[in-house]
Amino acid sequence: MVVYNKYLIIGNGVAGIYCAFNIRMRDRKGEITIVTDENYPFYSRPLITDVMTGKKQADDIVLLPENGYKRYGFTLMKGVQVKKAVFKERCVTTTAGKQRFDRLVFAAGAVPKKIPFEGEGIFYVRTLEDAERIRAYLPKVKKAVVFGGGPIGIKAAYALMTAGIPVNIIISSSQMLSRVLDERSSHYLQVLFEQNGARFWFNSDIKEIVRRKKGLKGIVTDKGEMVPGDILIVGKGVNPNLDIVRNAGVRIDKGILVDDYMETNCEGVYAAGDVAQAKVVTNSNQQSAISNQPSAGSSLSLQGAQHHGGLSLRAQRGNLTNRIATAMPRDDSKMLNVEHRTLNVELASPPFKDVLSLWPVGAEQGKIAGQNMAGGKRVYGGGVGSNSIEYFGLKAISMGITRGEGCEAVLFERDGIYRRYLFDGERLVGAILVGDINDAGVLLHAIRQALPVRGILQSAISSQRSAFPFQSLRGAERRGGLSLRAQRGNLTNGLPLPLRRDCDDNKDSAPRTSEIDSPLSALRSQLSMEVLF
Amino acid sequence: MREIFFIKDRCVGCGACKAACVAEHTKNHHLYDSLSSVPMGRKRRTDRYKQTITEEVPHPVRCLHCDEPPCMEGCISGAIGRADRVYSKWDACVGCFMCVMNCPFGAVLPFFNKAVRCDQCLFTEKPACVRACPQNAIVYMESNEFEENERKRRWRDKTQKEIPLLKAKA
Ligand SMILES: Cc1cc2nc3c(=O)[nH]c(=O)nc-3n(C[C@H](O)[C@H](O)[C@H](O)COP(=O)(O)OP(=O)(O)OC[C@H]3O[C@@H](n4cnc5c(N)ncnc54)[C@H](O)[C@@H]3O)c2cc1C
Ligand code: SF4
Ligand code: SF4
Ligand code: SF4
Repeated sequence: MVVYNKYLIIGNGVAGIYCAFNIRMRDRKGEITIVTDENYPFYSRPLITDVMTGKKQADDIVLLPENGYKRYGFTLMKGVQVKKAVFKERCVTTTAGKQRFDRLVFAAGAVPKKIPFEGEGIFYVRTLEDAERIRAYLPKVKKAVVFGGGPIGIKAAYALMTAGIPVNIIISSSQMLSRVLDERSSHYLQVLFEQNGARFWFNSDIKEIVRRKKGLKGIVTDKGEMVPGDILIVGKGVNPNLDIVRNAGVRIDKGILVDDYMETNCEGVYAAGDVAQAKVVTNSNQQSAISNQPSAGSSLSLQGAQHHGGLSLRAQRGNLTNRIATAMPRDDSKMLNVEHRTLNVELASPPFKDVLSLWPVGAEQGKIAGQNMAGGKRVYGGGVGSNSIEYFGLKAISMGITRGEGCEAVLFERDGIYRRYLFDGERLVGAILVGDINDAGVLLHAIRQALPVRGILQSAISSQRSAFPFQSLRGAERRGGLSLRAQRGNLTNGLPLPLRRDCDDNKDSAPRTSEIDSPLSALRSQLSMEVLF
Repeated sequence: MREIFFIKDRCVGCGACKAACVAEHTKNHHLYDSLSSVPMGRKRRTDRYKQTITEEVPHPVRCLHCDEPPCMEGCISGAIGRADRVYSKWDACVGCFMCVMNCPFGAVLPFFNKAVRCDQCLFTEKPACVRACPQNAIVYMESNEFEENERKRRWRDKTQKEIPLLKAKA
């Protein structure tokens, strides 16, 4: 077997780190170099909004401290930018000189979508450095403007609101989180946000920025309205970070195109994370072009909602849940509401590829890329666009196709719980769960594996429960037919084959799984009852 | 690695396992302490025994301690780790519920702003629920051993049930 022993990982995000650990699991001796242009070790990108408001310190969100890198033999090159890459020559040019490699993974993440304005008081949220900069600026801020109603923008807005700063949110579509939630569920959230002091400007764009002598005064929208605020935070979504690889010889569409093994068209060059355009099972983005008409009976007026909310037991538990309950109608006639709509969009056929800028997707892609770089042959099962959010105590999870006007939707709504399942025939293709998120993972799994679960879910709804007998999805276990372990392998690998042990060709040199599995097992020795609970 | 298995038809729904689980996850392993302990989450760990719709017997939702845990891949705060068994750190959890979204077995349960899951009683020889069950409905063994046992048991049950039935007909 050829020994590839120089691995280069561009990107110190979740995809890069998972890749490094999975290389190390199979190849103990290989040199692993991780290049990042940031000045921090691996940290949790989604948590930077907490650093931004000062709720957490930068050190708190570091997931792998620098001695962790040493322990696993990774060389971390901090603050080193990759300038140019020519993958055929097996060499990349960085600010710290040339780096040769045998196998490379490109996991350079994404860059925020820019707006055509610059200057003091305008910030993006993508890196820890951005967050620190905003934090230094916040003492001057009395009111903030957030531009963008996607997960990042809303997350930033929520962080500011919990820090006591009133927020004005400018959104270019007609609802918040339009890619993630449907009209109704986003309305619940909107009501919650408004009750907590946020103001929304929908269908608007930035036309002009009004400045004071120092800093901002406000933003003028394209409709001519003035939105006051002394900081502008832009969270309009992200684009894959492709600048360095445009002429590097890899095929690019929206992101870097990869095959089922996460390999690009250049041999030995892999891509993972926010830059990679990989297989997806279903994706909410693909149907965003279709117009969304509110379904009959789903127009939610705030007054009505409060009226219906009454004081359920749920509401009496506490202030937070109380607020949710008032945002949610409690109208029993709407409990079972099955919409039938005509199919005007073809669902994606399985080899559909797209960029998914999500943490778990990045982790899984990094894992697959790492194992394949070290000589394995693992197939990537395909991602599902999915998101989990929690604002003001209201939990919501959406997955798969959420705006599928083409599919049949089944609604469940009761006592502060809203669930919407989208079916294509017997198959579940998307779901939105608000209030009660139990068993979301089982649904995600059903979407991934295209399981025919419609009967189970509908019978659960008609017996007026949001929960469903998910054990019946695991019939095999109950019949005792399949070995649990084999079944678990199937499920967690996304695809039945090949399992890790099947493609472990240098088994002896691989350390035990328990030794190296996650950045966290570094902490194992420090584990005690106190830490855990 | 040994795992926890649940044998449904032995369960009488006494709830001893719930109580044991609660007690195990308080500082001095005392049931009454758990009522007053902060965070209350420990008390609510009982949620992991769910009542399913089709079966009136509570069914324990136990984690399978996956080889490549999807819950760990989803965790944005590094609260979930794997060291033989998959564990999650209460303090580090930020309540993003990515793990709830990713676990294909529904084994992670949201509780206010933290996620709770079975850790197979990391610090004990035998999990508390297994020790507590008076009916032996929860067992702790290797999976192939369990399969073997289960097959035998089912066969026995089947033959035992069928004999009286035949007699009655004749
Ligand atoms: C505020 C915020 C909140 C989020 N919340 C969620 C959430 O709740 N759920 C969710 O699923 N996802 C969320 N995401 C998205 C998630 O963080 C990303 O999908 C994930 O971090 C992508 O990981 P990655 O490894 O692909 O890229 P990144 O984490 O972006 O890592 C890119 C790495 O590449 C390095 N790099 C880039 N260019 C160069 C260069 N030229 N030279 C050298 N190094 C370079 C960078 O330094 C960095 O280390 C959020 C993102 C943000 C910004
Ligand atoms: S919580 Fe779920 S995904 Fe995580 S290890 Fe347990 S069974 Fe596997
Ligand atoms: S809820 Fe807690 S344990 Fe689960 S993924 Fe989020 S931080 Fe990790
Ligand atoms: S093994 Fe321990 S943590 Fe898991 S359910 Fe049983 S008692 Fe609870």
